[in-house]
Amino acid sequence: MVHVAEDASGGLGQAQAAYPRRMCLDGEFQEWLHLADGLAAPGVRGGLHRVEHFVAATRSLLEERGGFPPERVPVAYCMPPRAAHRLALARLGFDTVTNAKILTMDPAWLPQEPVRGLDVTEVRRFPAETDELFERGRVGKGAVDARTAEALNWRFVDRPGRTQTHLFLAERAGELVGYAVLREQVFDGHDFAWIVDWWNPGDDPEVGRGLRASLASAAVVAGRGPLAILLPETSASWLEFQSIGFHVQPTSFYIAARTWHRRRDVNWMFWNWYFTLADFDA
Amino acid sequence: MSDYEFRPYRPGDEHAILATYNVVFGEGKDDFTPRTLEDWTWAYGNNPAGTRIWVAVQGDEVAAHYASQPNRVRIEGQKRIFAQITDSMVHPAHRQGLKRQGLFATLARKMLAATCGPERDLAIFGWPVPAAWRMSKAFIGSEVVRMQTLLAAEPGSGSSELPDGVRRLERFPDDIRGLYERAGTEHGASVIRDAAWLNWRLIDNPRASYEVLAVGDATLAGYAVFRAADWPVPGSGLLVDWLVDPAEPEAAELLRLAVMAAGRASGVQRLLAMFPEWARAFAYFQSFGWRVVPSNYLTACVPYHRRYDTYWLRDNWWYTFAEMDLV
Repeated sequence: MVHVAEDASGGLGQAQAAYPRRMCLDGEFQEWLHLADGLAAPGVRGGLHRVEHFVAATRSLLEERGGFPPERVPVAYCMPPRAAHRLALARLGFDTVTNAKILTMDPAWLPQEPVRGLDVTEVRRFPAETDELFERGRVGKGAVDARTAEALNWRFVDRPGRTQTHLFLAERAGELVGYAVLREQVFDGHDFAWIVDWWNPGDDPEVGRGLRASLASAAVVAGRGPLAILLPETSASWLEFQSIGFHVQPTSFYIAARTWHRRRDVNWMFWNWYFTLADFDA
Repeated sequence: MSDYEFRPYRPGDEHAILATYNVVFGEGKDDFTPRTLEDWTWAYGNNPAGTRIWVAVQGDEVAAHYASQPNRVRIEGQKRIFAQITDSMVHPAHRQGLKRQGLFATLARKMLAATCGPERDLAIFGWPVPAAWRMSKAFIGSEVVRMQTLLAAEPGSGSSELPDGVRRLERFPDDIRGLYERAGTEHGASVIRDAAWLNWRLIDNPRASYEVLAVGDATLAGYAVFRAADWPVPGSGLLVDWLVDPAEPEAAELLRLAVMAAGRASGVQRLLAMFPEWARAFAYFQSFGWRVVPSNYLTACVPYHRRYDTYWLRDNWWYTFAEMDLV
């Protein structure tokens, strides 16, 4: 979904893109919008012109799509750069959900031995069983993007020109019980081994330990470190990662949202929305 | 609105302010303890940084009150003021209807216009719960600096005695400023920890008792301030303030152990501390097993200087519970 603002000559001034996200909220599915890739077209003058084009394109998108479900989306969210965040707050009706924080740890300090009774393997694609894994894990999470095989393969596998990405599946007695995605990339200026997605239904400590062992091993082999993950501070995983030695540090980003649902406002999102870097375009 | 007089505080207003305060904050609360003149005098009259109070008056009654507690701040080497909004209220008899909503907003804007700006108070701040923040955003353009996290730990088992080398202070000495100069070098902005502020805030405060733990003899290497409280949850032990010379890691170690001991002696269930996430102490306490947990509070501000905006404050303004009027 892309909305554009044209300049006076009819040329492309600004494009604001949004990805529809299929969200599961307390068992109900609805669509949210993830605003991403606000791009100034080449040749557009900077300063005020650029600002006005950005605002116009984004406002157009929000006016067309924002509102009450099922016809419209009740939430539009983003993790924008500073200038866009300021405009989103001042002129587009957004509020801050939280200041993004990450958890980091030197992978060499993590146990890398396999966990007994748990098979963790690196795969090239997410299997169909991932859908069932998501169904089990979404219980108890107030709001979460539907982490189906189709969505995950689109997000992590089929993306052209993607950076080095490792998909790890955890299985116990032949049943898929968790997954993690590791990507070697720069985020917020940090060239870390990023755990860009983490799905451990029920926050099973054995599953967590097994997945982290494989992630740590891959990070060490790649010569990358520390291991890092973006999580909401209100999630159970946030505490679980700290309990095994990950430390919290700030980022330069805010996460912001515009909501049309009075009860499910940004404060509700703060306490109920499970996200990782996979939910953003960073 | 014409039947209200909007003006700054005048000596003698405190009696009418207190009367309105006790009506507003005592509404429907059986366990409410009325605020006393002694408390008011401490909070506003004795603040070493001055007074910021505006009232909307009708007859002899304070219909609305908007105030801040100014704090002297060192910001990139300059001495300026950051002010914490406190005790905002509208008397119930003057509250209903849109016109009355205008009463509060008008008063707030008049006070802020008179006291805040690039050459006056540089920023106002506070730690509202989300519902209060929404009002603050609507009325005065308040912005979120961060969703405030806390550091939490259990006191654990061990001695309840202070470690050797740690002593209790009855008052902060005049040369405490030297410690602030050494320890505050990493802060882009922070409230100046001198004897005047610390003794006013923590020693002469009639609302609570604080335990000041210090390391060092003639020259202090660091101090920690502890208080047991039933806030934000019952059984909390609060590390209210923490200032340690970064060149004295042993002092940090002794004070951390002293805070744990104070927590055990007080019988609290958990210890809590508050720092910005970039602070040295934030990483330090995590390295000893303190966990970062969310809170119901957000750090909010209205910046009045283009350079010192919300982003700058997030990344450079150092604070602890001591800045928070709830603690």
